[in-house]
Amino acid sequence: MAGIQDPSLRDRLLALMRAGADRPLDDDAFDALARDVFAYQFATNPIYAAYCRRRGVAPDTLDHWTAVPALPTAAFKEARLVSGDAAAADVVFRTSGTTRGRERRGEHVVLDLELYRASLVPTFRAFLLADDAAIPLLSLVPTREAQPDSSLSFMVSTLIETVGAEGSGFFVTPSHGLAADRLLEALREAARERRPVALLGTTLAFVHLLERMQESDERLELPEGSRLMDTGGFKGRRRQVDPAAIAELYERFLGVPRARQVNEYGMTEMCSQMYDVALRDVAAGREPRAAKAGPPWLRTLVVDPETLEPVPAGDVGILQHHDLANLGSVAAVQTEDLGREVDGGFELLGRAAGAPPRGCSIALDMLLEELGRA
Amino acid sequence: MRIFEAFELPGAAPVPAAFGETRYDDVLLRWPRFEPADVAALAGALREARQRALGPGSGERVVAAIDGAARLLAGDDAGLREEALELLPATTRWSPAMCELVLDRMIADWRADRLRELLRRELPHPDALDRFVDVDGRSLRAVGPGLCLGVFSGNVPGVDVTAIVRCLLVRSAVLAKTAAGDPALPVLFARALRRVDPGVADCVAVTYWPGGSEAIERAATREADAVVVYGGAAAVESLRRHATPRTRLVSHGPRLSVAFVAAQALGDVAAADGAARRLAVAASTFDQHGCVSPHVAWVERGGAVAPADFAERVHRAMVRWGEEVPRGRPRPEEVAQIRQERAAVEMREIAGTGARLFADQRTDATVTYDEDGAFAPSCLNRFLRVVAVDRLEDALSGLADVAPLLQTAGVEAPADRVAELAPALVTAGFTRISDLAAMPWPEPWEMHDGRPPLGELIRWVERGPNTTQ
Repeated sequence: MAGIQDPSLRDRLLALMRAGADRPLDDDAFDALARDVFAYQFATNPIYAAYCRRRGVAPDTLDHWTAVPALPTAAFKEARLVSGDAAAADVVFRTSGTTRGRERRGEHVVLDLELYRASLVPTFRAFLLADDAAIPLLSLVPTREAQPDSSLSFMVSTLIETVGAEGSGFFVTPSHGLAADRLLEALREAARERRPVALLGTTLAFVHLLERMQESDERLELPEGSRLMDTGGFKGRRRQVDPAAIAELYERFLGVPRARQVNEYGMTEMCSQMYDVALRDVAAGREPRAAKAGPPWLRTLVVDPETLEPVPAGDVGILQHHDLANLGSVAAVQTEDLGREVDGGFELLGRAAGAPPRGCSIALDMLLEELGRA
Repeated sequence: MRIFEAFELPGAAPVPAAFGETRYDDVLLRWPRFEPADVAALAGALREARQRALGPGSGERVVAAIDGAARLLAGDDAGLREEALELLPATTRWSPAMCELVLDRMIADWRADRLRELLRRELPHPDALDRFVDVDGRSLRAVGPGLCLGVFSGNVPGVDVTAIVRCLLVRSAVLAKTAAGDPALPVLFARALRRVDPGVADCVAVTYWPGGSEAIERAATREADAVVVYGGAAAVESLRRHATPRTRLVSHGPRLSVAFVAAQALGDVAAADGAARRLAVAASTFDQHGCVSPHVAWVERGGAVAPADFAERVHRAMVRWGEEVPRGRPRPEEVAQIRQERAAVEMREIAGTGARLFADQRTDATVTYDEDGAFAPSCLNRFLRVVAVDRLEDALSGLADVAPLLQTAGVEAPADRVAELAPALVTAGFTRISDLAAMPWPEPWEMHDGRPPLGELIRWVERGPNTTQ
């Protein structure tokens, strides 16, 4: 608990989060809080402070939160970025697999899981349970006991504990994969009893479920109010999942309409999550928009990677997140994700939309694929 | 919006009614949507034209036609050259200066003197493609494929035209499918050819279709005698699947190159600066997208200039050369990669591991320095990794995993040191050993990925001693 070394700043953030993720934070309030977070991180995170100093940025000369230097996600794979007492860390989350070819996994030292939980639950409520639904959460992600260093497992386990109605459960284990029979039985029962459910999982796990249903020629009409949350479709691999195709499959096989399919966009390096806004829009009586957004304590800039300045609204750029829940590490994160601002938030674009792969020169993930080790 | 018809077909070939369009900034490219059923007629027209124009004795005619086209592109046709220099920056995203540099170096290889030199070096006798010739008492005849299908990769414009040129030199007709990365230059070359010699030009069809279009690629592969493909493993594999037992598949798949700088090359500051400049240019030419472009440079300790100091010099030289030949406009996700890779090195630098990052605020010149020999590919677009080693030979074991992909070893060292290192480079898998200055520009007759450029297209027929009179 003593990981965060500024208890009053921690308390301010917790209080803000506990007030819920429904009301936006006004610009001045966000700016003030973001600058305080930056000042805290500059003072307690020597690596990040050095990174900022090299760019001539320090808390006392900072104009505005948009000038806080954003640390590229690759940096989290090279160094432990901790703002506070690392020895008192609650957990270290790690990314799965290799994304840099040097068998390096991204690490996120979470000093204080209370902040993580305080961001997670109201945000999930705001985007997935905007209609105040109290429904079982059926997880296609392993428990956190089975995968202690997975932030996704922690996330889903916490949600099941805090907001999952009776009947919630897990249907994937690391050793045996998807327990398709048991899950399908649970879904059939929900359909029979007209009890809506929420399915949470990686896109890949959902695809396994759908393949299984395809094999046995099964179709389900999950009851009205059922919804699903998927994540991990856009990892930048060459064999990308086409979101439109997947959406159609969810509807066809599970009967979950597009507006109740909520894609989650998060990363190991960040405490907070972002979601499709459609379900929340419909619950608020709006037309569903094709956009993603996060909680009020997270703001996303779309920047030109050459200048690192925000691009004109609506232009394509690279996403830069400022997540104040990241108090214990680095709040300003520079991703390599292509996107643009749209009504309701931002739109995530697939890697290299339209760009042809290069020919006889070679880049890392191509290289690994060439050698048959994708 | 400028419109460019990105195709050139033989006179007798029917043009499909439907067209596709691709937009590159303010240029709109139109290309015919070929159906598989159209391919047979196109192939037929190409083969007929070949019978008429590329038969025995046509060698000089072919050389003259290519040379004439090259001269038009070089500037004899100012309008054509201007068109090339307008289209290339838009389609390749390279700077105008880079486009001009590469265009002119490529054109030089399509001029008669170098074409003749290539033929002289590849063929044991000048008439070998026309008739049986006597070679050391053997009777041999060289035969090129009747029809080649060329499938190109577009990372370096001009490589595609050189491939077409090679097919013509061995008297093949060519159906050339351009890549999205260079849809224009082969078309302009074919048009220039038509201005000089329509009969030879009728042996060349240039068009575009989206890569991986299964049906048309199958049809085209089956019509061809040889398929010449430049591209990634996926492209090569998909064409291989369509091939029949009689298809000759000539593939130039993905390759990577690296540089080696010996301690002896760093005997003083002047020598180091010269080497730094040559390395910077090798890494910056083609914006590092050539198969000949070095991803990593291993630099030996023990010279008068230490490897970290040398890395800094390379960065400065890269920035200076960038003022003459600026880097192009990579896509945002490519620039984002540069930012990511820089941050990783910067973390190591801040941690005091000895790593260094040499970079300005702009992303167009990056040199990183590390003291560990592990190989990692570059994210390209002028991002060079410099790694210190005690001895250059020590770097080679780290390349074992990528051995099948190795192409050029660019070596900066005195001749005796190169001779000493060469056997290990051979074992490591390199197919070309070059000095840094020549690294970006192999001669047209050099072995290409370990094979002779014309030889890999040729089928030899041998007549036994008792059959010749």
